[in-house]
Amino acid sequence: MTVVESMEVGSWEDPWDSVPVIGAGVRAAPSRQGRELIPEGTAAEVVVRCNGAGVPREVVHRGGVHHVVEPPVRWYERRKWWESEDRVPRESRISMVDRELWQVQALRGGAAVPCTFRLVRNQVSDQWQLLGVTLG
Amino acid sequence: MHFPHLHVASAFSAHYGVARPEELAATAAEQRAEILACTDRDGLYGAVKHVLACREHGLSPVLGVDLALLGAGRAGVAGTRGGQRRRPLPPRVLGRVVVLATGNNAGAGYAALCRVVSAAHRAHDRHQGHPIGLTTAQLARHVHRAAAHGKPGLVVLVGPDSDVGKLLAGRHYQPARTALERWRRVLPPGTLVVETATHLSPQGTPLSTGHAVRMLQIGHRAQLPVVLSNAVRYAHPGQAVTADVLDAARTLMPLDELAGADRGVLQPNGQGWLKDDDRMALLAHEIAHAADQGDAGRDRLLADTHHLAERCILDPEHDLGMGRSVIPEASVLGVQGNPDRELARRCYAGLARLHGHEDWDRTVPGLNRESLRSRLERELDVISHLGFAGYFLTVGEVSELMSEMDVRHAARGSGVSSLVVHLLGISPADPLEYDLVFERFLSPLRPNLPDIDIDIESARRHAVYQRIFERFGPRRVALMSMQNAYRSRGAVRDAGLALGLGAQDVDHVAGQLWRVPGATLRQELTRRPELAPLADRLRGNRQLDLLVDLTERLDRLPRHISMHPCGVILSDTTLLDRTPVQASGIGLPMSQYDKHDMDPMGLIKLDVLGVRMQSTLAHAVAETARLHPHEPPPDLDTMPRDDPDTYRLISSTHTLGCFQIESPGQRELIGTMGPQEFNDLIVDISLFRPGPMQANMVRPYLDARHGWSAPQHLHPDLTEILAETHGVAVYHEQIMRIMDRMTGCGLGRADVWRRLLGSHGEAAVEAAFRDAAHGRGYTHRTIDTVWELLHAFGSFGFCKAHAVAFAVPTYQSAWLKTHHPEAFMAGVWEHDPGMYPARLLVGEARRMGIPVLGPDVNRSGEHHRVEPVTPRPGTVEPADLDHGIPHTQDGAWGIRMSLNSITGLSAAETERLLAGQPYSTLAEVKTRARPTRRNLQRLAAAGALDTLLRGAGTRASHTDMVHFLREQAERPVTGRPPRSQPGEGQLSLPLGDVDLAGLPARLAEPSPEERVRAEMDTMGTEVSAHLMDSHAQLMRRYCATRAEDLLGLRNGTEVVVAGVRVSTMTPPMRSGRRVVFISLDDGSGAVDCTFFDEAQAVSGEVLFAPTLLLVHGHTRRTGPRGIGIQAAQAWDLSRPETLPDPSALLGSRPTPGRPPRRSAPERPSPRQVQPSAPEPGTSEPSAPASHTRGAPHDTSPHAAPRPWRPPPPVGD
Repeated sequence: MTVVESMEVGSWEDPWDSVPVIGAGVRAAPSRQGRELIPEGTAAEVVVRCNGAGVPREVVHRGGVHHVVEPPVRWYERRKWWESEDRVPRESRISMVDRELWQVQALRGGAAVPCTFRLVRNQVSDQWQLLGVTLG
Repeated sequence: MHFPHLHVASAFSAHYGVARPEELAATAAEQRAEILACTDRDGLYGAVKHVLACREHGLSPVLGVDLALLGAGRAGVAGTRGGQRRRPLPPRVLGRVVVLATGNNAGAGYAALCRVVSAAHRAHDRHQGHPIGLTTAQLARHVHRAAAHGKPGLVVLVGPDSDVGKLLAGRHYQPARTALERWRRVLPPGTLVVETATHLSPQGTPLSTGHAVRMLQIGHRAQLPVVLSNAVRYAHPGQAVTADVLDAARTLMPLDELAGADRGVLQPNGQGWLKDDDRMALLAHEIAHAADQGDAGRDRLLADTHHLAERCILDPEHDLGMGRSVIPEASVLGVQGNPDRELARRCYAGLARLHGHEDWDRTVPGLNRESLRSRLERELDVISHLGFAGYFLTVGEVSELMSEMDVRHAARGSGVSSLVVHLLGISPADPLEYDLVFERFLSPLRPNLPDIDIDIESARRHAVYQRIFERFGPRRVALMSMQNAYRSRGAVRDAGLALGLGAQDVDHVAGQLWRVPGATLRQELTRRPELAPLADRLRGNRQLDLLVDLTERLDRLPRHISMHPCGVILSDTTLLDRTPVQASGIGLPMSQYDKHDMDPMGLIKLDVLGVRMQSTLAHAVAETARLHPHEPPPDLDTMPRDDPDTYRLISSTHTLGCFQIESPGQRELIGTMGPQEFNDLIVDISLFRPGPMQANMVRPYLDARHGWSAPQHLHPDLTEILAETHGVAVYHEQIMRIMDRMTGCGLGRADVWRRLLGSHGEAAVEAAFRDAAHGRGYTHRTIDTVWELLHAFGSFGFCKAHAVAFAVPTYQSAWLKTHHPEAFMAGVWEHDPGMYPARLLVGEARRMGIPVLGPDVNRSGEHHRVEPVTPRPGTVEPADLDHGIPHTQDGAWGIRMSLNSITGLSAAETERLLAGQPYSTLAEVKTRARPTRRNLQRLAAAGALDTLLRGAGTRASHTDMVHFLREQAERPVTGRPPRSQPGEGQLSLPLGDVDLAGLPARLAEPSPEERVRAEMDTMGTEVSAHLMDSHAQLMRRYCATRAEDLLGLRNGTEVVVAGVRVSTMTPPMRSGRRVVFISLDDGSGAVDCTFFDEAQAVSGEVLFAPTLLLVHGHTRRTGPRGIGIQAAQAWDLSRPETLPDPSALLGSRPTPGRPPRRSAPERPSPRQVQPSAPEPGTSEPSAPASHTRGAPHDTSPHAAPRPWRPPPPVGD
């Protein structure tokens, strides 16, 4: 950020600055805080329990139950469906164009520092997949 | 409170929106929304459909438009053709804004919206690259004008896609604030609103929550209301894929490229659907909390959105003028005083003009039992009662215009039933003469404005449109538009482009899809035998599989708007307040509303349809006048329609070129029916429609007509009604009369009842009918029988008035073909009115003994013309002409093809060629007409210069000349000035044709085959011989039968035929199975082949694509003068490796196969005198012996050949 830009930003700080960007050609900025516990991309076992509104409140990972401490953040990023799908039938009501991504900060009982989980939820099958975990 | 979506693009935002307004309204209604907007891109294309859909679903409609915002014009250097020129560059698109119309102001908001849209299109020029849109200043002017009366008429939404939004996306906060400030300055108070939207896309991309937060905050900072939208493009998430494909189609780039380089075209994700309340509330919550405004911020956002929505609700009646028809002002029509009196005055003038010598009070014979005067007075009464006099005067005015221009015109449709229409000169047919019922057209029980459609000469229709515009003024007239939708082929191409498939693959798939509905493509692939190889390919290929899915998605989506071929809208000066207009392509403005929008919006539309047959008739009459200068030209419209020679021609089925009766099916019908008077023509045209054919009216009529079945008598009261059709109910008018006769309900009510037959309202009609008929004393048995007839008639049958309108030009064309065949055929070539290509008509002319003369640089004109020739004995054989009909000049008159028939010549060149006639040397052609060298070569190849060659006295051949000119054409341009250009006032030396005389004589004259090929190349049609002549040897090896020889064969003979495909049809069949009719032209006539399921299956791909076909099958008599082929298999002649062994083909199938068994008919046939009978075109052949079976009344002793009828179906 240049001096001019920092003056321009003015009185408000964009809360989205801390969200790492995935997709749409912009590269992800590494988390400033913790180290990667599990490299991104490895499909690891994870179970996510949500509340009535579909927002995660518990993440079960490697046997440990993590309780969500901050309101999770969710966004949708585009997929190249023409490369991965076999069929895109006209009657389908599910979006093939994007996938649902979550960033969840959850604390394991007894731990001092929360973990940040990056998850993707399959809109068709409601399956959760872990993209990566960072400490902090 | 339910969330109101204010930024919604329907499918009518071409190449952008996915869901039709009906689907969006239904979705919104399911979500229990109350207000829904339609803001299509660049226009109000979906607006009317949106309002109607909202009304149906109980929603309140809002209308707006999504417009491009243009920068100011730029000066710059544009165009490199012819050097650098300082020309203003087209303006850049800075972004897009939404403009909404406010409601509750007597239409002021909607009118302003229409004008803003029209203004956005005014400067649009696709070729110069000027986009559709407005600058801020222009838009501001419109908003100011709309706010002139205190309340804002328009509201501008500045959202994420606007100039402000784009700056914020790039985080240029100061420039964004400046831009928004400028908006606030130029717009009046209360008309500027900020729009925020989030699609929850990743940070840094458009429509991210961060972006939405910035929009919210900038709006608050500028103290402007901020509303929430979802920038909707589709109704549910599954349609997001279609939006991607549309984006690819719009930009003509594959999806991979669009996604990779991130040009900002593709949506960032698939969240742009019509989200329900809960989701929108959640989004408001997220935005507000991310902006640190908490719940209060969220509530404020939602409240502001509601507030704006309520301001913009439009009332269909008071704001849009729906349901109120508007006609041009009386003064414009030349009417002073009472329009009813003026209409009566003009009608009586018409009476004097058309029926001057008749007694207007004499009852005209027929079922109407009215005199001219009583009928006229009755019609004027009804028109006056409904207040439609102005409309009739308007149409009468237009008809006058056409008469002044000497353009042939005739009303079509039920309007022909009206005597007023006839007396105003709009229709040449007298409804009393043909016993037509006025109530079929207009009655007090149907208060909608009727439709009067006018057929005019096709070649002069643009001139007529221009004249209408001049007459009524550009503020009162607009053309109608039509929406062109994706069909399967176009859908495949665009989907293939999006997927990045190879052009060859895509073309191959697209080529297979002939008349295949795209929406059910996957199903069709399994069902149709000719698509089987394609289906195989798909199984192994994921991309092709996706292609099918994408094709189904695109099918029938609106693709682009174009001018409707015949609709003209006439209104008073409020027209442009009620519809937006844009350029039509012919220099006249076009409404953005299509034919379905006319009635709801109260727009009067006149269908002025260019019909090529009318041009043909006009051309023929003009030629006849030229050839017989001392006789008055034939007056087609007033001549009596009873010439026996004409009917003889029609019955001979040699009706190629005639209106309506030249198709194979029609020729079969007239061959069987044998029309002898005009009423027969009317019946013929009525019967040959899907309705009557499906309802099994044809066979009973033919049987009754020929006396093979006794007409069933329903009741003495009804006999005279059905007498004209031999006891079979065919016409709508007959049904109306039966109902009225038995119940006394009146013909107006009868028409209402008739329209309910065949629908779910029929039960009520039945009850009313039975009641009333019983009340009049008819027995139950009679009532039952009659109701059975009415029920079977259902929604089938045909309107006699329509049939009369068609029968008139049918008769006129047949009359001309009988009495002035050369002039008629010249007209047919000139205007190409029929279903067959010109080449088939060349054969027809030859059959009639009319020589066809190729284009000649000295003798040809700009139109096809009749030219006297010296008949050369033995070269022209007038084949079977049926007692000397048509009346040709026995080869003394030929038809000279025009210079325009040579493709590739420019209009200017043709003009110069004609102006410089006559030519004696090639040099004269070059200097006077200055054709391009390539075109000079084409002229020579077409034979137009042969006359010069002969005149040059050289021994060089035609081929030498073409060769010479081709070499000249291929030599590169040297830039030297042309030699021997005579100066002004100088005569060229009479040296003779230096160029041609000096030609070395090296090559031989072209063979007939080469000549024909050259003619095909240059003119698209053969003149000197037929294309099939080059295959003559092949045909001999197969022992192929020529078309003209088929008639002499017995029914069921095994034959081989071949020819050029001239028509392919798959008409709807009663049984539901598909039958393919293919007509071939082999130079001696047309062969009509029928392919049933089995033949379709074995022929496969050959059925639809190839031009030259070889067909193996059996003859099938279709009438006393008709014969067709029931095909067993077809092959592509141009692929000799696929052809069967000639020695083994004929004889391999001595008897024909059976056509598929018909499924049981869904409706009981009106009278089961015979077992269920086939309609013409699908009779079964059988061994000749059974020919005589089942002809009960066939005992007449006359010497004429036994009247043909098909044997009853086997096994019934």
